Formats: sequence, structure tokens, C-alpha cells
Amino acid sequence: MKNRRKHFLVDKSLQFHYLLYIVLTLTLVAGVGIVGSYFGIWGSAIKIFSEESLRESMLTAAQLTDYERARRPFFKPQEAPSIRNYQDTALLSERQREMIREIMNETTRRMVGLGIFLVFFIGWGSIFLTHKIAGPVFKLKQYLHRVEQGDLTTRIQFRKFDEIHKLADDFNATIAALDAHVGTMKRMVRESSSETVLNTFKKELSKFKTSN
Amino acid sequence: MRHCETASQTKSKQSQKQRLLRPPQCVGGQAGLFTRRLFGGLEMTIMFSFILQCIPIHAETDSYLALSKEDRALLKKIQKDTFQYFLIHTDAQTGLTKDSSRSGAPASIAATGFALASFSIASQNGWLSYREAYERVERTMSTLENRAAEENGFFYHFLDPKTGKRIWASEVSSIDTALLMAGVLLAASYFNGTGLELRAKKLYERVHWEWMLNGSLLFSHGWKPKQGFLPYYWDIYAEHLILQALALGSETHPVPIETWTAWTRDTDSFNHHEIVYAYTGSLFTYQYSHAFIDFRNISDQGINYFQNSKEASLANKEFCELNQNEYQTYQNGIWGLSASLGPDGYKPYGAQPGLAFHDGTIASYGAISSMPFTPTESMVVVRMMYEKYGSKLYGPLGFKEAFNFDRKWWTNEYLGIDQGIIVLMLENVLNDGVVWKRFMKLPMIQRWLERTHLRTKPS
Repeated sequence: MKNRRKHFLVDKSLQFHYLLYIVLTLTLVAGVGIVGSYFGIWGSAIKIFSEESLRESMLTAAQLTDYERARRPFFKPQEAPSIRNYQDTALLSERQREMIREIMNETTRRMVGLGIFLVFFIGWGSIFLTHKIAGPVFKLKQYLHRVEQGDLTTRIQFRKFDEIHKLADDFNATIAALDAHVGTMKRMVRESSSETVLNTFKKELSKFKTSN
Repeated sequence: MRHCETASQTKSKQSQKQRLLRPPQCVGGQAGLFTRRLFGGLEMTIMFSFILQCIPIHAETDSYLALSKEDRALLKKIQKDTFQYFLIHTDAQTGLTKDSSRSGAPASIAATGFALASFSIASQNGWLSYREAYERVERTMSTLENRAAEENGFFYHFLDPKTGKRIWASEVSSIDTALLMAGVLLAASYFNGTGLELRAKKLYERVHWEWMLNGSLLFSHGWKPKQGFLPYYWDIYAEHLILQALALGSETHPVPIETWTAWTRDTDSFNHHEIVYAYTGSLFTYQYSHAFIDFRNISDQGINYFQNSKEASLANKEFCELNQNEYQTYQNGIWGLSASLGPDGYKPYGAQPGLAFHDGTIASYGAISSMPFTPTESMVVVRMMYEKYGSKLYGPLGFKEAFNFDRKWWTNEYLGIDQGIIVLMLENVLNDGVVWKRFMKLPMIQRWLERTHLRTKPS
């Protein structure tokens, strides 16, 4: 396999840098999710089913059942205990279902809100991070085009925190060397006789390895 | 002379105040600052109205009952303290009022109706500024218009005070919606000339009263989504007269005229008191509709329901007297058997005629709310409860719900509707039936009287 990648860590600095970004992002996402879930779901559940809250719910269930019974046109106090307990329980479980549904709805609303925030956050983060690579690559293409047009005075200048400064340095060194050679040849044409120029050209061209 | 002002002078002063004390949106309208600057005199009007707000408007009105200065002062204090319930237990965002002072209690639409009426009364008494009362009523109306769970204009009995959603699997309630609507209409009448009147009318007009008849001539107690109509109907005398009046007076969704005569007026007597009685014999059944409707001059098939409530209150008192050897609580002139919390939960306590279930528990609001019917007899109970047992029974929000000395039990809890009936009944007693006067002028009440041919005598 001719093109098989032998080393995954070809640029340790760059790759570890990105590894750090991603790990931090995922830690943040996971942290927000865990804390949000804890306080959003379990926090509400713990509060709703606390001893005090349950007691209040029991009392309310009993009271609302009493209201309903008191209003009926056949109130029979002697039948109260068993029926009352049954109805309290039924009403309480109804209320608990309402509360759990409310918690789930509230949690869903929070999760959707959190999800939308994270999508925007990760989207913006991705653009920001990839721009550190994509920006210099785009710039490099523009500079290469200028070199293709024959402008050997071109030098690349990347932003301070762009990732491929080393590549820019190598590119600039290459173009500077080419610039120096072609400049020498142009100066010889301007200043020397034909024989001297020819010798100088031969000497300069011998420094380049070409296909033909 | 504080007590010599005539009714017409008082009315004129009231209407003057109502004209002047409009909230900013009514004074300046949408035009806001520009309009106010353009009509600079309005600034003075607002300042003047602010000064007027500090003057209790009823300070110079008289009671239609002869009460001593001390009794009036005590009743005024009780009314004001009782009103505090609605300030504390009404949600600041939705304006829905909790059923009870207990933590975790749901909002009750009937309690909310009483709260609306109470805010308006508080404004008239100078306990709330006109602006604050207006804003509180407006907030509640917004919730009722947009958020509160309802079916065909009828609201669910219990709502989440924070959201207005149905909770506790409660029913769409006919009587509680009627009490809510009575509160909505009464409150709006205190803010005439503002948008609240129209909004109250719209809320009332969207109630499909005929739907609650379920194809019969009797109102169902309620309806549940999965169950349908509850199998209980308002078929005998009870607190549902307010429901009847509002439904029969509706222009948009009126019920057949036969609805008024479809329920039975069963009569029985106790201790020579002949009474069209409610099944449980609970005092509240003779009081709730009477908080809004002035039955003093109404005769229905020869029955005067005001007199009927007076007889029922006296029967309640005498029933307690006859049982005072069995229950120590009924001693010292204490009476007031009505549905309330008790040592074994909420029970429809009552006297004869009727079921007369009792265990020595007295509802604090019972005798107080019969004050329009039995002022002397009620005042004895009020004095006794306040002066002898006040340390146990009286709290920051007035009298606590109920007590039973035989069981050494008294609650620290207050119930919204029972607070409300005290505030409204005392307002009628202390301020010359002002709630009745306002409510009886409402067009829907006039239509009810016309449609049912109820004979009225001039006041």
C-alpha cells in the first residue's frame, strides 16, 4: 500500500491542539447536559416528591374529594372513610400523573432550548475552528495563483493564531529562493555579454531538477 | 356630619371619583405623553385624583342596618383583614386566587371571582388605590381571556395558579363559573367607562349556558373531558340562584325560561321556621347568591329568598342552641353550621331543615355572612368569637376557617370563597347594600327579572 498512512501524528502540535478543543467542547456539552438534567428532571422530581410536598398533595387530594362529596345531593358521612380513602388515592395518582407530565413537558422544553443553543454553539465553534485551517488554505491558493502568474515577490502572511504558520514559512523560503535565482538571471541579461549570460544561465539552471 | 349625607350625594361623589380616577391608559389613552402635555389640565386632574384616592369613599355612607359605632368599627376591621387574603393569595402574574391558604393549594375560579369583587370593594374603601385595583382586575381578566382552561366559556374549577392550566383533574364547574362571572361583572361595574366593562361583558357572553343543561332543563354540576357531564344536577334550592340568574339573563346564550321553574322548592320547617331548604342545611347555600343579588324585594311564587335566608339563619342558631348540651362549641351563643373544614376534613355541616350533619364544628364565616339577615344574632357570635376566642380564631387574615372546641381543634387555614363571602356580605351591611345596588343594575340581571316575571317591589 503505497499511500498508506504510517503515522497518525504527523503534526503533534496541531493535532494535540485540536484534540484539546474537541475534548473541552464535549466536556462542556456533557457537563451542561448532566447538570441540566439533574436540576431539571431530578431536581423537580425530588422537590415534587419531597415529604412536605407529598403531604400537601395528600391534603389537597383529600380536601378536593371532600369538596366534591359535600356538593353531592346524597352526602352520607358514615360511608366516608373507605370511599374517601379510595377516592383520595385515585385523585392523588391523577395529580401525580399530571405533575410527572408537567415535569416531562418542562424538561422537553428545556432540552429543546438547550439543544438549539448547543447546535448554534457547536456550529459557530466548528466554523471558528475550521477557519483556522480553511482560511490559510484559501489564502495559499490565492498566493499560488499569483506565483503562477509570475509574481515571485509574493510572500504569505497568516493571522497570528492561524494553524499552518510553518507551511507559510516554507512557502515563503521557496518563493524567496526562486525569486533570487530568477533575479540573478535577469540582472545578468541586463549587465553582461552574451557568452557570460549563457554561462551564468547554465550555472543557474543546473540548480533546478526538472522533468525535461 | 358623617352620617347625614344623602344617597344621591354619595352617588354623585362616587361617579365624580370614577370619572376622575381613571388609570393612565384611560386618561392619556394610547396617545400617552403627547396627549397629556397637550391637555395639561389632565396632569392636575391626576394629581387631584391621587389625593382623592386617599379618602375612603364610603367614610360617610351609612349602613341600612342600625349598628353601633363599636360594632361598625369591629366589622370594618374584620372586613379589611379578611380582604388581605386576596392580596396575599392571588398570583402576581396570572391574577388567579388560591382555593386555600395552604401551601400547594390550586387556584379556584370561584375564589378568583370573589377576589375580583374584593379588589373593587377595596378600592372603594381606600385599601387599594384605584390604579392598583384596576391593574389587578385587568391582570385577572387577561388570564381568563387568554390562558385559563375552559370549555364553551365555562372554566375548570381548579387551575394551576401559575399557568391557568387545568389541574387535579377538576371538572368544568357550572356554579363556580357563575360565581366567577358574578365577580367579573361586579368588578367591572366599579370601573365604568374603562375597557374592563366591555371585556367583562365579552367574557360573560362567551359562556354557553345552555350547553350545561345537557339537553334538560336542569343545570349539571359540571363536565369532565373523558367522563362527560357529571350525573348531578341543580334540582333543588341551593346556592345556584346566581347561576340561574346569569344564564337566564344572557342575550348570547340564554337558557329556556322553564329552567327557572324546573328545580323544586322543597319546604320544611324547624322550630316554627318554614324554609325552602337546601339538602345539607348548610348556611352558605342561603348566602352565596345573596352576596350579589338583592332578594329583599323579589318574590318568586310567593317566596322571598331574603326572608328565607333569614329564617334559615335563625333556624341554624336555634338548632345549635338545642344541641349545646351535646356540643360545648355551641355554648355562649355560638352558631354557624356551614360547609367548612373540620377535624375530619371538609364537610357539609348544616342544620335542620335538611340533612343537618354536625359534629360540633362551627364555620367562622357562617354567622358573619348571615349579618344582612340576622344582624343582632350574628353580631353576638362575632363579638364572642373575636373577644373571647380571638387568640385562637383570629389571625392576620381575619377569622380562620373553622373551629371545634369539643375536639380541641381549630385550623390555621383560610378558604378563599369563605373569605370572599365575608367581604361582600359585610360590604352590603356596612355600605348600604352597595354591592346589591351595583349588581342589580346590570342588564343581564334585569333581563333575568323580566324573563322570569319575578315581582319586585320598589326599594
